[in-house]
Amino acid sequence: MSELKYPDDRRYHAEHLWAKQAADGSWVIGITDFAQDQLGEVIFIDLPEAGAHFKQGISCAEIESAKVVSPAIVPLSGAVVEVNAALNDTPELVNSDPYGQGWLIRIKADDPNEATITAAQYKAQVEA
Amino acid sequence: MGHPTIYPTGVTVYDPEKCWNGLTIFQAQEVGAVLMDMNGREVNVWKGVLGMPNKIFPGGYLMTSRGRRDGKFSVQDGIDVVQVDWEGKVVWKFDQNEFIEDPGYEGRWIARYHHDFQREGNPVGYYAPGMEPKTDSGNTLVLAHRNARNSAISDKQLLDDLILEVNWEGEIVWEWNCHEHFEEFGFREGPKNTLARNPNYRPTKPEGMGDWMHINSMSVLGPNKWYDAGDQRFHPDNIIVDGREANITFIIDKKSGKVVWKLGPDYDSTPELKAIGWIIGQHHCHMIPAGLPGAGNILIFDNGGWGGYDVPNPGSPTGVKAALRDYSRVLEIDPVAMKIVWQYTPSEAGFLFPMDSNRFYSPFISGMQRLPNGNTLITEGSDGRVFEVTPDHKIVWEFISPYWGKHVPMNMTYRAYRVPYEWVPQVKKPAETPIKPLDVFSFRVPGAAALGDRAKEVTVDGCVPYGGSNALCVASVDDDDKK
Amino acid sequence: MSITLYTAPNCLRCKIVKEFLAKRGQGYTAYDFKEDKDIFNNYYRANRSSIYRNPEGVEFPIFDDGNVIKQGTGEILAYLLSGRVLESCVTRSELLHGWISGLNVSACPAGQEENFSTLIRVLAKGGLTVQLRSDGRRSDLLKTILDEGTVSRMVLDIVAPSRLYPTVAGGPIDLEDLNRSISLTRSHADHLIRIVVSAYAGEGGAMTRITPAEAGEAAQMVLDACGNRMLPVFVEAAQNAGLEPLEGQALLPYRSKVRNVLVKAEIRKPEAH
Repeated sequence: MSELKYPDDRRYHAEHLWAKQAADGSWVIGITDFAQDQLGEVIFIDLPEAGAHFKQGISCAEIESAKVVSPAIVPLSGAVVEVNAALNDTPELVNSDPYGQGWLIRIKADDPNEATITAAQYKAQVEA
Repeated sequence: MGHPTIYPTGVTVYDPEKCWNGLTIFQAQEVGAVLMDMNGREVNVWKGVLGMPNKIFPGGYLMTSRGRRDGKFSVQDGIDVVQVDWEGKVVWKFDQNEFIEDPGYEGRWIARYHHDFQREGNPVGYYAPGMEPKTDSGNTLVLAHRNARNSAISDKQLLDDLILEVNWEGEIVWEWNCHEHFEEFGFREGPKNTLARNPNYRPTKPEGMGDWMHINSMSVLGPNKWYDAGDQRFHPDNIIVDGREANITFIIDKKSGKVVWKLGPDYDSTPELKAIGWIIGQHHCHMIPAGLPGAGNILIFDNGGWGGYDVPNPGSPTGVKAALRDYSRVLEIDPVAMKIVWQYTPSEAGFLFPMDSNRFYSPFISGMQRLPNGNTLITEGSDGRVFEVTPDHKIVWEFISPYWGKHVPMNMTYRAYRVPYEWVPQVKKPAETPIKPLDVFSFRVPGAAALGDRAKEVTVDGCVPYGGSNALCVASVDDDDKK
Repeated sequence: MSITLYTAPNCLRCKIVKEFLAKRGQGYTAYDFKEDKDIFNNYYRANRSSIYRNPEGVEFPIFDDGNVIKQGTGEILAYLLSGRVLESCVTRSELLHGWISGLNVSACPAGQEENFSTLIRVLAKGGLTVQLRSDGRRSDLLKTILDEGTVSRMVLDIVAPSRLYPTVAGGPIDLEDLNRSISLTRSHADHLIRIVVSAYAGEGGAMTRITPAEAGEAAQMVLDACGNRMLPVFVEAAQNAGLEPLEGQALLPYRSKVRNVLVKAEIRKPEAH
């Protein structure tokens, strides 16, 4: 098994999601390499509607593999400005490119200074 | 120190002015429940019952039990808990804990109750202002037994303690099983190993069982200042119990069943615990109910004797009943500061420490009740002695049970309670005749010579005057640096 | 109509269905959810609302004949044996790891005895460990099936007092029939008798539960049938999505009422499963 990666150009949440700021100041959110590895082949993702608002620590989506259904816990509070429509037909992008094409949603953060953890802290947690 | 062979029984001291006068209920060994006045006149005796304890409720009702299951198959399984009226008629009963078919006996329901019960309306089963136990309705908490297996504790069968809440119809509506909370008691590894090998094993038939915790009191906290100040550990519905075999007192959260406060099983881990010292084989730990002096503090009869699991040591070659002490202490503890705020120990009793300490000593049973005038009624159970002391430790009433058993040749009395006259309307307020303590120096039995009956005395030259001694073969309080 | 199966690798339940179809000469197309993941994933996304998941994921095999989607080996075989007629007595299995349940002998429709017996036989011979359930009715069929030795665990559920049996179980119960079912159940090496606190559609259609008093009545019915108040029974609640969960301390009033009649009644602790 190839080693799981946790790029340090973004912020993390203990519940296995990341957030990375886009050029327009919004935040792109997705699941970590560790999470996709645990889930196995993703076969469906139940994404929220644009405009929906989620508080940090709340689930914004259900990610289904043949094995499990897992909630996606948002790492930052905010309102959804866009969902990744490509996941409707190709949810496996979450497995193949969790930090890129497999992003879940883009949000406008309520407070960009909300507490999160670093890549190193997240790595320490999942490898403990 | 042993007891003298000849000594008076019955009431031996009584100062009506200083006492909180009322009736006293206790179990006369192998006779029944005796309710007596301050001078020891028996105002009613319910014969044949075996209350452990007996309690009187308003209206002249007796809470008791009608006997015990055969000890060949059980350890202290009371067959039922009953409320009987002044004439002995059963008006309430609980026995539906387990349907038991012991060899040679007809199958029957047995409460398997032991050591305590509480009726809704009053947290502890004794008088507290404005908190009368209900007598025609309400739920009852019953301390009972249920056999269990739990490999985390031991591979032996366990005689587990069980708390049941029972409704007026005698149906169980809530249960708490002690063994399910083993991890919450905080046993250290050494004690755990001893416990696993010998969980206080008793050779019952058809299979032995370990009376591993041996809870011997169970009461509700009731309204209290700690909870009023926001401390959730002391929710009025929470239950306080103590486990004799583990030297532990703890509070159970009624809602979650979790242990939320504890004292023990070790007494050397914090400065506060070290100051309290080892509590050993304790009995009747309960919170003083609201409205009584000391309300919110916890009373503990710290028996001493032998108790607790630990690593093997000279006093306990197997590590069972590992802590030892040859005197008792009554402690009143502030459960938040974890400090002793009042005590009655051999020192307060006036006995030279430690040489004479065992003159206040009951290694098993016993208890105490806080009275509305601040006095404390203490049951020193093993020698059948019940006495009332003032806050400054003066004995104002004392009684020695005259009831020695045939099967158990002791005058032991499990736990006595003082009852207000108003709770027993059937009895006209009795005369309260003072009993001055006998002058034991001059008192003589017929035939004995009188004090000072001395034929001759001489003086020996060269004698130095008598003084204290720091050499009574053992270290004495006189060695204390502070003195 | 053509049959499509969606299967998982090394799936015993899938193998049993495939062999059954082959034996009957029925053709089918099978897709493995891993090997043929594009086909399966598309099928899953298109039919997601009709597909159920057990606690460990999608229940395989999935059977689709263009008409109905069926999951679970028992339910698929029942459908193949007799269309939808056995749906009353073959339901979703709540057991995993080689076990199969959801097989209620008492609800077997008249005339379907042979098919129901065949179903049990195929499941057991195929390698699954069978838990059979009875609600006390149809002791005749129970005996036939138990005599074959294909049932690994026998569960007898007393689901209601006699007067509520038609509503809760779908038919009346006869005391002699119940007594025979009790005897047959007890003669099985691995058995369990439960007084079930059933949830059912009461008057007006709203979901309701058996009350403690009714559980006591059900226990009395058992005693009337078998005459043995020492009969070991467990009190257990049937959970229902529309009702508050009934568990832990809340079951004690039920146990009390049952114990008044059947004195050894206990609540089954989860670890005892």
